[in-house]
Amino acid sequence: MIHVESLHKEFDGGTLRVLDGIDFSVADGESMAIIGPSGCGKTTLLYILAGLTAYGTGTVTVNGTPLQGPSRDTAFILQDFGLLPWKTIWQNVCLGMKLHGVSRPEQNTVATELLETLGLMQHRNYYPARLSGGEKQRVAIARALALNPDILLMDEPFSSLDTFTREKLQDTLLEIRHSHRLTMILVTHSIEEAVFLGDKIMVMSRRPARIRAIVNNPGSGTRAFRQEDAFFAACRSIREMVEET
Amino acid sequence: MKPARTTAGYILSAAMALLVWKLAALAVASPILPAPEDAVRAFLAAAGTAAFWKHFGISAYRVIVSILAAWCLAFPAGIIIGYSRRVDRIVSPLVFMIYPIPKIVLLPVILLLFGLGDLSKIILIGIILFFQILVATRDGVKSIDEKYYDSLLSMGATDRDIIREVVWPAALPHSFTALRITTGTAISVLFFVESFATASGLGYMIMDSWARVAYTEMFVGIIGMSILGLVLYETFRYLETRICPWRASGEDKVDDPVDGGTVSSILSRIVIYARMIKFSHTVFALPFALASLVLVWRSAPLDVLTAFWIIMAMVGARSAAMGFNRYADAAIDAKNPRTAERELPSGTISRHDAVIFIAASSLLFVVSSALLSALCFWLSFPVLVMLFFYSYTKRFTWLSHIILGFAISMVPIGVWIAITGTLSPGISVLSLVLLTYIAGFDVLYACQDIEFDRQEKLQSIPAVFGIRSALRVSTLLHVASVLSLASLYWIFALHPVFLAFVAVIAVLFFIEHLLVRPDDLTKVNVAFYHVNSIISVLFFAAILAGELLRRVS
Repeated sequence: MIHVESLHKEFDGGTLRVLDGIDFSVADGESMAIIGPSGCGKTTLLYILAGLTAYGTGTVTVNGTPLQGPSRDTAFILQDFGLLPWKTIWQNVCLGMKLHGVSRPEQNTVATELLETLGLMQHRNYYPARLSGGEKQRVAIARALALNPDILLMDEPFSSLDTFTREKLQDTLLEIRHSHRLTMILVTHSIEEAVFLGDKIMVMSRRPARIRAIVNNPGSGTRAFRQEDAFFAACRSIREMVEET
Repeated sequence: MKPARTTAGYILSAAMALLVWKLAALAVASPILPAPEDAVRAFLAAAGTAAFWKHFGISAYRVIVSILAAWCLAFPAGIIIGYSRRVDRIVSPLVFMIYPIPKIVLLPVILLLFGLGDLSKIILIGIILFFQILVATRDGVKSIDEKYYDSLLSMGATDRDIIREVVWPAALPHSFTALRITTGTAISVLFFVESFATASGLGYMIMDSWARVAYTEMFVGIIGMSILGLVLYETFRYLETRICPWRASGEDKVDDPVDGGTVSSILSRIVIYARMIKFSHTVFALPFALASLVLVWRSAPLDVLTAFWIIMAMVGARSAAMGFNRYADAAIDAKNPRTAERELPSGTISRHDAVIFIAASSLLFVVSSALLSALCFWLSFPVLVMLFFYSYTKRFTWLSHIILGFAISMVPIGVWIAITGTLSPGISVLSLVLLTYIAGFDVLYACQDIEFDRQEKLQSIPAVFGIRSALRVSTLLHVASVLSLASLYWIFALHPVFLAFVAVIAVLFFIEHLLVRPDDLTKVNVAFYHVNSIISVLFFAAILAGELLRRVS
């Protein structure tokens, strides 16, 4: 459960207003896609929710307690995945567990299970440089899930991938969301992705970002949705909204 | 990069350096620049003495301790300065103020403070390296992408976690690069500090032999220092690949680019050229050059250097001839499906590059000949003309096979002239063996192209007389080859074992001709390559055995 109320954020000593009164809440197990023009402050919002950027005024509560820095229950996948080039796939996946003092045998169990689910076991001793974009994204997902979080934050997770890989990964993400009962917030540039993955879609305005609308999107959550008329209808209405901003 | 390729690269550059050195030594013609073989010989002799290793050991000790001390201080300091904004603000202005100052001028101060012993030498080298490694490490830390910090912070990492998981591994390769690059500086400073107030070390050895006008000995010291630098450089490179394996892992996916300046790309380029000139086919003519050397040995002394220039001349001549052949025939090769994939018609090598290659090879041939004797120098020009001319003969005469054989058969005669300065009838017979041997299998080879040659109006024995007659001509040529080979037994009074080899060769020729039938040419390539390479080597083995056993008995 994430609850945000009248959130404001300014940079450079108040000269650059980025977020201007943001209110929303995301229930447990719900997913929300954030869409809006480039540089509007979407990523800043995500960094605030991840506990990486301090917020100005307003309240942000996660699972009932005010947000104070990064938390083990919230996993964050950065735009370029942030995999460490000097660590193998296996070491990257185990990194969070290592930082939190999880025992070696438990690390092995968790990492083996995740890498097998995501089909990365045969690559476990590679360094990230050898992987394709889609494979890197799967490693990033495995790394995020290793600490068994409640909340998954993603910043334009699939923007660098080709359509085929992107849709396959969206399907994977859908399955994982259900099996891990994740609450999810993702920032995206793609209207189709927002409509496919978001139970609701938040459309933001230009900087300083305000919420233009939060649209409920009841059809999402199944693979088949991509082929349904409701999907295309939702895409059209979101596109109209985005074009007005 | 594969180690084998690196080794090959080193051998290649060493050969290149020796060649340049040799030419420079010949040009200077003064004891100040001794010939490389003299220097190498002196070096090998010195390498067997305890005195040399004492100098080498003390130099290695000084420079290695300096490097280790500098790294142990500079790397952690670089990490702290790079990571902590506060420390950076305070320390960096100081570092960057001192960095451009030539630390070597501190020498007198250091000598006064730390005395004339090893300590002050180590400190001076160490200070110079310290700043190089410090700045490289700090800049390395500064260049770490924010996203790595963010991704760790989002997992709840502390400062210590970040230094351990991100900063240290990211900075490590930068410090290794700095170490590698500063090897040269370290050795230079080492030389400088060893050039006075000491009686040990390679620097002392160089300066001392200089003062004594012992130039060859001076070069022993110079070679020793070069080797020390090389070993250090390679050690750091090896450590870098072992300790930072992720740096190499991305390269597996990238194919070696053909252009560019790295050793591996130069090598892959060399492989392409070697394929163009069918370098592997050298095995057919080289044994004859060697056989010729064996035979000439009895009438004239043979030294390593002459043998080296003979081989260089042969490599140059062969490369020029084959390169020119490919160049002249590029348009024809492009039309023939069997040869369309060759390097020139397929564009792997441009015409422009091929011309440069041919010119360089010709130059190698002429220069090598010039270094053998004045006669060889003058003869190299008509030979070159002959080598180029044969490429055109198939356009107007079916004797092209014989002319090819003749061009190649100049090898034994050339070797003979290079060493004795005269021509002998005996060696001409060896050339005849080679002529008939090459012409015979060129006829076989041409059988594959009969359709194409007829269509393109190219002359060859199969195209003009038909396959059946061509095979008969080839058989006759090879019979002539075996007979003239056998006659060498009497001409050079070889040991009877020679005739046993000749018998084996005759059997192999027989098998070769059985493999190729008028109605089945599929075996030509097998017949060609495998059997012929055995036959060629046997030619040499026959003469070597016949000559050696004659001497013994």
